[in-house]
Amino acid sequence: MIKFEFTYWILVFIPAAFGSVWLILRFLDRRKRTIALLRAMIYLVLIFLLLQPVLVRIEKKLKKTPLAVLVDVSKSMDLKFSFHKYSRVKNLLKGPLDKLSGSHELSFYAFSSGISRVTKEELLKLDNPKGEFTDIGGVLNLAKEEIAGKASSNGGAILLITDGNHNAGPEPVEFAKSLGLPVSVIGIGDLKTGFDIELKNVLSSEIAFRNIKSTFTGVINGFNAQGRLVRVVLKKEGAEIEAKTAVLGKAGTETLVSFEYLPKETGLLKFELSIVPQNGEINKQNNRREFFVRVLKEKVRLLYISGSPNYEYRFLRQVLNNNPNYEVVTFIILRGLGDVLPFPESEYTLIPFPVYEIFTKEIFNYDVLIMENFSYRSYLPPELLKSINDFVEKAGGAFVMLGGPEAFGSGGYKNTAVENILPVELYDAGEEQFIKEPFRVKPAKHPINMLSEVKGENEEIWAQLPELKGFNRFMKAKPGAVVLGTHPVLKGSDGNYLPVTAVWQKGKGRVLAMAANNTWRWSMWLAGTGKGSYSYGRYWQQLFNWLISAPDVKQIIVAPERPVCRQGEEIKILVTVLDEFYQYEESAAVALSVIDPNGKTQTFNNLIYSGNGVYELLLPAELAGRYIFNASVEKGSKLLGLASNFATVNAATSEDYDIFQNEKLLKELAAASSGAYCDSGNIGDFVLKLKSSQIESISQTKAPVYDSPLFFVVIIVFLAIEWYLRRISGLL
Amino acid sequence: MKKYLLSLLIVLLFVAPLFCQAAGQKEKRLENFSFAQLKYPGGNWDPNPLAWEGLYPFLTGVTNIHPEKERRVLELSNMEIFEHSFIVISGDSGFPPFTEGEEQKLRWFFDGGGICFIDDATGILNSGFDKSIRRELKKIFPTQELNKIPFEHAIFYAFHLKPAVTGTQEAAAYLEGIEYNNQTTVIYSRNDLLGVWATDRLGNPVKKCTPGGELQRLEAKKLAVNILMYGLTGTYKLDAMHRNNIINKLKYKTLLNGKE
Repeated sequence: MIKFEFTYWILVFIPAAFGSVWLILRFLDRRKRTIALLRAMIYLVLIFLLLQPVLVRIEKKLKKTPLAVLVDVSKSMDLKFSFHKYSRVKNLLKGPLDKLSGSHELSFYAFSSGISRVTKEELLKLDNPKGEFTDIGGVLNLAKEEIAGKASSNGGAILLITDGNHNAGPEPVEFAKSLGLPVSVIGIGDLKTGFDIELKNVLSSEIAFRNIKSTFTGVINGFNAQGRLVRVVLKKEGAEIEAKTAVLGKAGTETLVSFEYLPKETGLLKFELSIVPQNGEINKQNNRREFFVRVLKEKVRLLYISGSPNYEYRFLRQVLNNNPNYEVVTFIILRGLGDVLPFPESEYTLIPFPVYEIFTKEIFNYDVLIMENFSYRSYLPPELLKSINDFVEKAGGAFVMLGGPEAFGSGGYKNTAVENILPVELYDAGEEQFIKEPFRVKPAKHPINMLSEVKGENEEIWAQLPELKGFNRFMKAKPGAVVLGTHPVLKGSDGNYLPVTAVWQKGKGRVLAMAANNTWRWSMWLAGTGKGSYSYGRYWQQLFNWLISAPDVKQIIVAPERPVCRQGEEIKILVTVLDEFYQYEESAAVALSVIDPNGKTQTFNNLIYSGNGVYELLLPAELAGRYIFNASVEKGSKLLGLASNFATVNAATSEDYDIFQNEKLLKELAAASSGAYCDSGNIGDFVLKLKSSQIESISQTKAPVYDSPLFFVVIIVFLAIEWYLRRISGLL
Repeated sequence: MKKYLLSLLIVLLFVAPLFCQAAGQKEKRLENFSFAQLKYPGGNWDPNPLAWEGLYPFLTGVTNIHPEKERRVLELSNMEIFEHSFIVISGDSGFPPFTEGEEQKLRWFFDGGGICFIDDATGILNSGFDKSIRRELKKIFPTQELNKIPFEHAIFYAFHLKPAVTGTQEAAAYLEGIEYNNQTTVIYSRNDLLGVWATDRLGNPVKKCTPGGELQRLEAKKLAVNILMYGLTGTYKLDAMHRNNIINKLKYKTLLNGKE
């Protein structure tokens, strides 16, 4: 068939050609007519060539259907009940599936948690599959990228050969639906007979808080086990904690058994939930599951007592509220004892200050006590202040006293129990000066004062902070106190610059004394420089972190990226190093010793620095159990610090005991993608169905006609005859 | 007579030091609040110049707020606004747009944690001041809107129990506000709230309160104090420990008023 591929302007030449011929025939004599006709012929040939004729050939033929055969090589395929699963696969590859090669273009893939292209021979050579997981959802997703695009244009399909014991990655049925290709499935493994009880899942949060109840719920599936009484046992680190009994529901329904546990210690705890196996149960290995819960310290509770409404409270409350681990309870003295209320008491929202309850009992329910510009004198006798000492020294609480005309010596704390725990020495009430002249705090070099990890930036930020207005004049810092900030000019009785902010450890607890209560000015002024008030929040956060001994204030932190890994994976261990002033340390020598579950120690000195003070190591988790990491960090000959942590490597997956075939899932997969399912024991009809899906392909080829030399020769011949006729007619 | 004079002298000798001590303590007291009002070019930035003189003794006599006696007048041409974290903007007429630099300063003021109380002293809806201030707020908070502040907000419980929203006028029975930085950073009244505080030298109110008269003035005063208290204590009164007390008092108030 000839087709013309041309631009349409060529068509204007055709009427012009026919018009010329008509004029020649109408008005010229015979010889001239002949010459003109020859010229018209040349003209027509040229038009024909300009139309770009091509010769089109169409061929029809039958084509093999592409078929991607995905073979499950996970560990559960190496299990045997009445037959060895993978041996059944090999028999299929050699027998019925081999017959498909005539009608299908077969490509083979092995899958477990990933997928790789293999040859049929490689699959046949394999005897004991060892894949750690079966991730059918993930594999179908990968298959979609790798083979679906190619196959769908040719009407291909996927053939999945698996036991269907999907135990990792996304749910596969949704992926099968979105694949756009039929997924046919050959189910490998015995179908369940007899009865079985399976602990399908344990619902628990990965994080729990100390002294707050956590709930663990076991999800139990029964097969032919309706009405059976089962005993479910919860163990922590191998020791039984509690056992419960439950009656299983009818097939297809899940039975839930919940346990409540009150963690008393922090750290990563290993739990096990198991169902006591019963006689005649066909699979006893699916009766237990291990899980891990990281128990954190409960929320930090802060009690804030403010002697008057003021901005320092509002701004500090914002900082504290921004930390989800903090819970703040406040009392503000909104009305002084001498203030007169002009309206009835019911018109106010004021509540009595439960001072006795707080200082005799409630105080011990908190982690931090903040007293800001608060004098006890109008509210409680000095003897009750002893409880603040006990709160700090014995109970390990943190105490913060912030300045103001009603704080420290001016608040009457000289010669009281509170003075004993303060890191500064006070003047008597009548002697203490409350100095209103503005001053700029001179910060000491200390991690708490570090407002940036970037070297040099910290000094810049402190220089930008505005002056404070008003502070209590202390006598001096006590021996053992750490002075964080001083007055730039005034000196104490010991000749050193007057302390403005000082901290220390007192007994089990920690104490902060800050002579001013207008650091809110830092927030406003920093914002006024256009750089935001982040540093203000950070300063207070660091102070509180130090007071409550939060882990964030450690110089060296070693931690696995994930606390729980699976055997065969790599554990990424991160060692974060800050120098003594809490700035990123880029040139530290990090030695990481790893004790594996067998007790063997290996030391690594080749950790890779990945920025922001973090050094990394990738460690293959070859053994199941607990890996302990001990990091030792030095700079030059100076030891920066030591840190320890651990990761748990989990070995047990359902690959070890999934002896049956998950027929239900495989049928759903096939139905979702308009494919077909068959059990490996009944393969005959199934192969016939696959065979019938051969397709007819149509191919079309094009050969250009216009570049043939024949047309050139024809034009030359016509021109030669036309020239000859003109010559003999004397028309040259 | 001499005897009486001598006795008086002796008494004064004993009592005088006590007064001096009290005066000294007052002197020492740290002011924890300053009434800072924004002076902007064009329009009338100060429609109630006597308001602070009326408000100051009330705050010092009734609450534990210790304000500076003198009102601070701020301009956006310098950095003084960042010395304060609560400012007042008032007016009774339209005003020209703030410059870009002035807008930026206000934006940073709010970024730092500042709160602004705006009072439309016209006491009428859609006044020239109202249009101007909304235009400016839109430029400072392009993605935020002025919304009605619900009566469950901490402002209505910060000191007085659920005062009515009023002023010398009753243009709008609600406050409006903008939420930013986890707080209500702009509080807007359209009822000439500051006008209720303005008094002459004899202590008589300068402006009449309509339509409610002196009862309306009392409610407005309660609301004004609550707004200042919110500026100092934030959402303190919404803490769980206040809840029962507030619920009980609200029930009592309902019983007294027969409605709520």
